[in-house]
Amino acid sequence: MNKHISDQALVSQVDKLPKEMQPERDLWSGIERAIQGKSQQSTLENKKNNVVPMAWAASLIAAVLVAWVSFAPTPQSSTPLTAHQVGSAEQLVSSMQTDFQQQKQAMLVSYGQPDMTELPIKMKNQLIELAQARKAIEKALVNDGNNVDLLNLLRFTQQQELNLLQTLYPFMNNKNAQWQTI
Amino acid sequence: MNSSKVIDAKKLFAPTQEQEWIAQAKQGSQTAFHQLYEIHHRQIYALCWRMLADKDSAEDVCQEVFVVLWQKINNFRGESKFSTWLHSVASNVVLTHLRKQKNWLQRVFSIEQQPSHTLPDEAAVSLDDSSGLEELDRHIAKLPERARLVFVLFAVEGYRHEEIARMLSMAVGSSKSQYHRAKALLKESLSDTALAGGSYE
Repeated sequence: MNKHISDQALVSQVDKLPKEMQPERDLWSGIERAIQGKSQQSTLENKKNNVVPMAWAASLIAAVLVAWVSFAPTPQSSTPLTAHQVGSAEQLVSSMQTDFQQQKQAMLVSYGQPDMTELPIKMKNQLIELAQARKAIEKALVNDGNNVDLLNLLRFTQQQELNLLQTLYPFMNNKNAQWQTI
Repeated sequence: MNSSKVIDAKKLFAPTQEQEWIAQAKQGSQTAFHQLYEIHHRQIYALCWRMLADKDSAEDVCQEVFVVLWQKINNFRGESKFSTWLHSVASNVVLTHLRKQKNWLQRVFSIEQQPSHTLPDEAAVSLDDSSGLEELDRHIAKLPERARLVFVLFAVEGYRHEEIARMLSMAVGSSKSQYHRAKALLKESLSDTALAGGSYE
């Protein structure tokens, strides 16, 4: 003889199942040990979010610069500048450089002249890449000082470098910052 | 005689207290996090046990759930009940654990293709065991893995088939058929136990 179990009887038994079960061993001690070394996620992600766009910006500038250096017309093919024009372009570039160096120096002083060697390799490389990009644009401007695109690119690169410094150094001064997680 | 309703202070203030612990845990307080663990770990362990059908794995994964919770608690925005959100975190941790356990061959050949009347040999609980488990829990533990997961998520945890299908990467129809399969297997094994003189009615 078969004892039939109805759907309803099964549902009723499911409803009676206990909502809780007691584990045999103490689980908290293991959890406590595990979370000691783990920080909570979103705080770190905020820091990460600050740096990742900088990395993208640095890469973008590097790519634009490579393209510019490769395909830009040579200065000889453009219309020759008058002595006055050459002088004013040089002055503009020189004033942009001075302005940038002053801003950068002021920023580093405000962060207590941090040691760049303390930065992680990845961050250091990004700073170096931006600085190289800036120097390459400055060099290109020596021969093509009136080129508005190059001037804009220089200003953009300088700003990116300052932004990156602004993002990196406060973290560097914070001894609790976890560099390896950025 | 004063006929006004008696207010259960414990029930009234518990959610507020829990909110406070959640806020403190978000700020990094392990003491507050421990309180949350104390409130919820038995329910989470029950969920892990039912999905995994193995005591040791359930204990390990329950620990993992709370470690993940510690890391992700800032993602809880209070749009649902904390316990509901925690159960969804736990279900996902269990499913991730199960995926990690399988080798590539098992992943390719889905467990859905198991013959419908074959119960897994490795099931960790014997039907006559006296571990204090409910009889139905012991029968659920004997179900094939996919049928068991769908049954627990649908019938015990209250997920919809659409949600289960998403969680288990299967079609909605498969989730429904696995549920019916689980029901049929449970009814069959419960009937057998009753015939053999078990206590089930």
